[in-house]
Amino acid sequence: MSVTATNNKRIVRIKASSGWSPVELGELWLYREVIFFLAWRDIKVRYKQTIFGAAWAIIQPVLTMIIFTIIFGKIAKLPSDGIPYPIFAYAALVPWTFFANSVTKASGSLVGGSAILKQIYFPRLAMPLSSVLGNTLDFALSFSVLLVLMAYYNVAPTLNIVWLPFLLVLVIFTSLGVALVLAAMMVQFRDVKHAVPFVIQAWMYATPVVYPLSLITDPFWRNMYALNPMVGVVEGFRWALLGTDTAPGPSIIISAAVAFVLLVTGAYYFKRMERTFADVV
Amino acid sequence: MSAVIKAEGISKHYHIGKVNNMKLGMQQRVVQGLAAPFKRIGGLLGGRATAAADLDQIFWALKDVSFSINEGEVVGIIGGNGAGKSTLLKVLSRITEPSRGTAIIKGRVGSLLEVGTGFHAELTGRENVFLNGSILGMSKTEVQGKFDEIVEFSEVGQFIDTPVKHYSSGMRVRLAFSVAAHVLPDVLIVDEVLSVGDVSFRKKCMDKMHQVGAQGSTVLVVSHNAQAITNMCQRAIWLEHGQIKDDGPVEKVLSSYLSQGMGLSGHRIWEAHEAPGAETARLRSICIKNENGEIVDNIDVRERFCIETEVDVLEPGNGLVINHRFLNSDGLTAFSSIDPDNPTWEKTHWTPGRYTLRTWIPGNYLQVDTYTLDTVLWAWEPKQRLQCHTRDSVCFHIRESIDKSSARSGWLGNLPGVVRPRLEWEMVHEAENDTMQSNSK
Repeated sequence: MSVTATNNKRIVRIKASSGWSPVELGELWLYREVIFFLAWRDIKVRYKQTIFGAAWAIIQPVLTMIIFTIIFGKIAKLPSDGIPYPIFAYAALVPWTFFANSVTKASGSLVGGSAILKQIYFPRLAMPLSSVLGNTLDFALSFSVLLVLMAYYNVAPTLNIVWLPFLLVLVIFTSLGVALVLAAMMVQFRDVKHAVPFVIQAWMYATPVVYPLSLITDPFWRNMYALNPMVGVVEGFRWALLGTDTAPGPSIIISAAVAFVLLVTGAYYFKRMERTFADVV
Repeated sequence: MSAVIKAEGISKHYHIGKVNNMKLGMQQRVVQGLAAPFKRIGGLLGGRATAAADLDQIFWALKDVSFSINEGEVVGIIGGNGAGKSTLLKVLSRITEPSRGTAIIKGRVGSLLEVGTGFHAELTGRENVFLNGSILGMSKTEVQGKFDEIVEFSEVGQFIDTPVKHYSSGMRVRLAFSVAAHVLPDVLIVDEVLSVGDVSFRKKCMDKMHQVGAQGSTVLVVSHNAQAITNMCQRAIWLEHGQIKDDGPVEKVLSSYLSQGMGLSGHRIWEAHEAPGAETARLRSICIKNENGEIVDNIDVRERFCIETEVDVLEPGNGLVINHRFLNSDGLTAFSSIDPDNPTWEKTHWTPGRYTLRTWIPGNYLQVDTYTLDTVLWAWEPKQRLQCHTRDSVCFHIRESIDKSSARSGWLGNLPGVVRPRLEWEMVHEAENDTMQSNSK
């Protein structure tokens, strides 16, 4: 299918697509308002009929931080690179929660929106994309709490904070890449729905959220570890904000490269499966 | 006038069910069972959703459908259940891809395929109008400009800030239709959604679609309501088994659809083993005959004709009732008639054998339309019991005549009504002043 604009009138050519094709970014741009409306809808709906409303965006990571501090900080006495454990954990939980929620919501976005999928056309990519975008508000809220915590623990941000936008892009790419594959798979197999929470949980322990990256001393293994793009994100956050001396170096480049590959493969796979969504969802 | 929609060889198949492997041995089945998940994962990673789902049988929902629709045409798509109507609309509105063929559409497409298209239950009517409008291709400012008009048309005014989950289904459809119709799409695609609203709103929608067509938009509508199609459309496309069976002026296509579409004609014979009925009596044939005794499907509106019914009586008794019900194309019963109208009925003792009954229908009586017959056989003796109720047994058309001897008397305008009697009119010139009177009897 392709869309071209001539004399203000779009000409849509409908035909069977074949093989692997790239995502049509131009069309996505045409539908940008839809993406924002869907994201806005997600935000609007998320905390309807709740007592605490948007406060949940803060309660969730804060409570997790408290639990982690008690179990991993106090009882297990895991090292935290010389930073108070609560803020050490929370700085990782902010991007991690964003990743976990984005993947969970975006992977279910197609199945959850099956009614709309079967009734009306727009680029299907808009659905997982808007789910991820809708999460950025929660991210901003929980991030503001991080700033409060930093003030409380007297941790001054370093100049490396300028890298934060880059890290944000990195976590968005990673979430989207993973979510695109899972969302497309879930249309066909609901198994994915049951697997996602487990995968996310396992992934968290495979990411230095509750422990520092510095536990791995061998540089080779540290680079191998960075194949998990969330390693780069989480350690990058601590490094940029809290000034841990785990300067990411080559591992951040590896993480970024993997995140990029994930996104591109995810997009291709999504596009490939897209044509059957309405028929099998 | 240029083609706004041009479809060439559109085909769509679905994979359904899977090949029955009953014949396989135990060992093969175990092997297959173990291999299946891997095969599925392989298919999934390869991007073949259907292979992944193990679906091997193919069903063609659309087969080589080609047509071209010009700007401003209002086209009705008709056909039985499973004829491919909705699939065609889904392909044209880009919800699903065709398996083969191409379609080219010029301009913005607004589609309304199901009730409350794209509405989110938790959002208010107002929020949904904006969301829906943007999905249908309107910008936020465009929606703002038309917002009042949309709300007014939908008649949900005071509930516009209530979450849609509290709406009745009728309200949802009204709002959804209102948004879709105000997008001013170049092509408006509407599926059987209007069967939900109440009569007055349905009328309003039809008028709106007509208006949208008059403004130069192209409208494609699926409906089971023959009357609605006739009122709205100039042209109809009749789909059957995924193929175009007929395409042309709405009256022509609709009338052949109504008769052949149901597989009916003016003549029906049942063999002994399939004859509808029970132990007392069975229906053997029904046909429409004109005054010359010829079997016909088409009857001039002026002509007298008869329904000839053949019945086999299997056991002796009294009081066999045959009831014919005449339904017009809207499904409305025009009238029904029973054989006790026959003066000899009460005295008749039915002995086993074949009986032929003729029901005469006068000329200038039924309105021009397509009729189907429902026939009921009922026996009072020896046992009080329904013998059969045969729906759509035969079908016939009453054809127009503009001859002076019809009820039109040469009048060429619209002559509405369920019946079309040619009545006796009397006039008496009472006096030489201006008073004029006419009495109808």
